[in-house]
Amino acid sequence: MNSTLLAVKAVSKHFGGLKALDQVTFEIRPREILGLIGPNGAGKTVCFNLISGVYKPTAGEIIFNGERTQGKAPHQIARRGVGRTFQIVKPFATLSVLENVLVARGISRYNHLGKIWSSWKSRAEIRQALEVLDRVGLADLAHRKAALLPLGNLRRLEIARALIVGKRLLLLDESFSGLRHEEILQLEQLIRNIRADGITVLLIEHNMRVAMGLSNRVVVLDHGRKIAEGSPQQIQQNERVIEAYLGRKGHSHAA
Amino acid sequence: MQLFIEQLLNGVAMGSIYALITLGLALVYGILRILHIAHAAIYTVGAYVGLFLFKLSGSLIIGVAGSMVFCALLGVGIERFVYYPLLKYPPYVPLIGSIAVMLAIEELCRLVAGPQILTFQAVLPFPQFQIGGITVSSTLTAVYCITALVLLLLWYITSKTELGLAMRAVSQDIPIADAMGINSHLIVSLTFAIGSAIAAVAGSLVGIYYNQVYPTMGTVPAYKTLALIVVGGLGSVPGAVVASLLLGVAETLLIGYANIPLPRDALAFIAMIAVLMWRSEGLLGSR
Repeated sequence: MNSTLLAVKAVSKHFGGLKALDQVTFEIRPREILGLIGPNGAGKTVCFNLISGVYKPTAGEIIFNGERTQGKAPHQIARRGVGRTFQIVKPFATLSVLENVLVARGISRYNHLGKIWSSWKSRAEIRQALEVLDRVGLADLAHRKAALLPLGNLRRLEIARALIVGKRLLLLDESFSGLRHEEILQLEQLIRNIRADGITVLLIEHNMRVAMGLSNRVVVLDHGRKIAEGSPQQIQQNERVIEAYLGRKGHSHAA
Repeated sequence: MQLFIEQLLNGVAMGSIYALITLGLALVYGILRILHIAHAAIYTVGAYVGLFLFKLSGSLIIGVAGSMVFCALLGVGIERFVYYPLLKYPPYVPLIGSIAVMLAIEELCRLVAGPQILTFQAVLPFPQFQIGGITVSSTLTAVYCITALVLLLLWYITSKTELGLAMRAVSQDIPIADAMGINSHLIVSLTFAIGSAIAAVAGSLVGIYYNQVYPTMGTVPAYKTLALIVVGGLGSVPGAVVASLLLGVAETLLIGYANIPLPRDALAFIAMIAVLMWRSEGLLGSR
């Protein structure tokens, strides 16, 4: 195995005249937790959407597990073992919690015209779905309609779905936002366990304590550019990072 | 009493046919939120292709099966080349596209097969029943059996199979479904294929039922099925079926049996207006 799971190489994404992402390069090594931080509008979610195939890059290369994946459709990238959550939680509202997870479990069958007719309600499927729900602490609510869950549980449901899809890489987009303190502690432990199982994690996080505490390395974006990369300690002392965060609050700064 | 029961049986058959035509529309609305007017044109093509292949082969099974395949491909073609590229625009844009496709296909049928009414003389290979003094013709038996079979198959697909689960996921949120590894576009295409194949069955069945096939046979169903999916609840397949059966029975009993002086086709729209005024989510709709 090579020492890079995902390589983002000089990737740019322009929307008309707006350079949402400009020549960004970074790598993720297997079994690490990489934090992606930056002020609002820095391009973090755009970066996620490029990796997961929602957008095609304007320029640059994305290599996942030794294969160029830019330009591939989201479902093709998901099938290569990339699971993701969304900044705004969107469960399949009319399905139950268990059914939401079962949708993710169908991943090996959806694009197979023979297997698509098989049943999704088999005992083995349900048992394995319940195991994942148990892991995120939602097993008790398996038969509840997803629309009825409070935010904290919805975030766990999203992670459960993403965990099934993301056998190799998990992309977590602000999974901690809006959570209570004890929920944050539980989720941090869950993510550490996930990494211990050999899954690589890329997380976007606004909560600095969480981002610095969980990440092995941190990449900082500002206005679509990478301004720093390093260990949490290095990032916390980095002049440009401090300026990017404080400059936003204080003086008006020319972009 | 005997006349009443006979009319009731006819009404259920009428409703079954409405259901077969409306199913495709309900499926498509459910997954893409598009009013697929051109679905009624697929139904017309289904009747023509069924008739043509039946005359060519002498076998009704080949005629209907061939028509199902042809219409499935036609439906997927319309989805790929008309609706999918228009999805990024507001909903009235695909709606206008749909009306254009509807008219184009009707005219194409007129050009290819001529404006005259063609006869579809086929005996449906179903038994005839005699219960008391009431005869259930083989045509009626065929309509009941085929509709029941189609509904059963569709129920199985949507509620039991992986495809059905994927359809539910795609109908709720395409980006999330994609992130779960679902090829949403493939699922949408399969939905069109299934709905269009059912329309082919409906077209052939109606052609035989009335013994006529003509280019504008889809015009009234186009508007009536639209009313039916509103009455049933937009996007609700069971709602569409219930509304269709109710309408078939109501049309036959109120106008055929009770002789209420109303044009037969007005009933669907009166029901639609009533639903929009008092229960805008429809009979079985949510929200």
